[in-house]
Amino acid sequence: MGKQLQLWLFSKKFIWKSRMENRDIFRALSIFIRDSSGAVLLFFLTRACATIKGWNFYEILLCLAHQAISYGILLIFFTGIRDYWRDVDKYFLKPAGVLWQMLLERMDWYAFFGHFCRGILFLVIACVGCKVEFTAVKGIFFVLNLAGGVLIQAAFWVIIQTLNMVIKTNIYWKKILYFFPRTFTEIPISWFPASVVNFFTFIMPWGFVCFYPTLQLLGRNEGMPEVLWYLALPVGIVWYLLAYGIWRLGLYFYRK
Amino acid sequence: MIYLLIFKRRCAEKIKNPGRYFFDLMDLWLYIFFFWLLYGFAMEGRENLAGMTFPCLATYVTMGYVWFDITRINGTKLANKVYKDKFLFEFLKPYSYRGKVFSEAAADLLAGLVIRFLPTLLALFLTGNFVPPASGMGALLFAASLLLGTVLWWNMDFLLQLIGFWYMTMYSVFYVAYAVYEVFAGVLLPYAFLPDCLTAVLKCTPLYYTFAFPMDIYFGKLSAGQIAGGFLLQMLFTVLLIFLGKVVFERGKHRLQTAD
Repeated sequence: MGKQLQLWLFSKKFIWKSRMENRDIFRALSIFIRDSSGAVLLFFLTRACATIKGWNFYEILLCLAHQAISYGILLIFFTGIRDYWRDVDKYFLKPAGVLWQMLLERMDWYAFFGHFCRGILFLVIACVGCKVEFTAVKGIFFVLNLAGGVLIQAAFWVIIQTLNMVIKTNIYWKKILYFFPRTFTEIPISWFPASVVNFFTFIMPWGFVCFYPTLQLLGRNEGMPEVLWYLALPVGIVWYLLAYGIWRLGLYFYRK
Repeated sequence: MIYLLIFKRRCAEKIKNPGRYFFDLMDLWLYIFFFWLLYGFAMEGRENLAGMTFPCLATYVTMGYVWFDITRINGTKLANKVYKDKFLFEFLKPYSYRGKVFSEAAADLLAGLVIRFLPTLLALFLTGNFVPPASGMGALLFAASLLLGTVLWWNMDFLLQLIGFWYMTMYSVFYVAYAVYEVFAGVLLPYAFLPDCLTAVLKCTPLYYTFAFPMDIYFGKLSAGQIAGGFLLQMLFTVLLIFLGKVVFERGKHRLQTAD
């Protein structure tokens, strides 16, 4: 375990050195600006209508903040399986796990800075705007929920990578399973009909990435059981284990 | 003639894989649907928002998103060629690089009109949210101003592309440019939502004349004088950007030819 951690740290340090050679800070800034355009749009929209379904701009921004921070952290650990890999075969030749090798090989530091800094900025603006009082319990569950959000998104990436590896089609699994649901759940899912809320809670648990953690910070329940505020991490662990099972199954079929 | 051949080849390339375009269209519609939902949620319990009814907003956002999608130029091409030392070959070819880029953009636009714009317009019509132009004359003026706006947008895009002579990771430049464009050119958010002072500033830039100005004509918000003035400014900005494009292109060319 110690050796694996050492290897992981070495790989991240190595990638950091190579990526920072050209000091392309503008790349991080461009990601920051590109993904902030949604928040700017929401700002002008809420300026015209004050609240959308009872949510003001800062409360919606808190949702976006959860997404941005968890995505930033996700990039530290799981950039390796984000992109489509055409040559998986080479990993079978080395004496280490395929997924582990993929995770070690890549890391997008610039994207991490872009998303993480955006998330922190949104969080500060939203917390000041909504007057969120950070207690110890809230702070602990905020961190645990972020970890859960990271695991849920990572699970989707693992499933997408498995599908890309096993089923050779031109279906954009990444868009269907990741980008579309992510876009739809960046806004509070309580705006949608109950069936959609249930879908994003019990079938594809995207609600645990931003919506329920936001409710936890705001202390609102929106007609849903308060226990859901705290379930992001358990759901994340279960989903990641499930995705890992699918990955192993995918590897088995791919080898065949 | 040679540009016509480039145009034809590009059109042929574009219609090669219809299955892929089906997924692209679905992708486009899902994002448009998301914006419909967003505006729908914001309008709940209201007759209109910033003076626009829901069908007006749906028409605006749908046309804006599709138009933005079909008029984009692949801006990283030039930088990639410069980086791989392949751009100098462009000077040996019997046509200008600019002409080639614009011929390809025109082919993309034509293919996009058939594959994306018309099906989306039909879908919009079938949902009952389509708002027709304010008048027949308005429709003609709208088409003319949108065409001019597209040429203006291509010139802006081309000018940005030329940064590739000096800077390699061009997608960063386009990330910023498209984010600014989506919000401040009125593609996803009508100018009615922006504060007056910001609108006044943006109306002095080419951004307004690419898409928001044609849409203002579409909804009959402008007087004859304002339309004439707008057309004049559209042409002025286009000429200015063409000139700037030529100057920057020559500088870039000089840089390549004198580089060690």
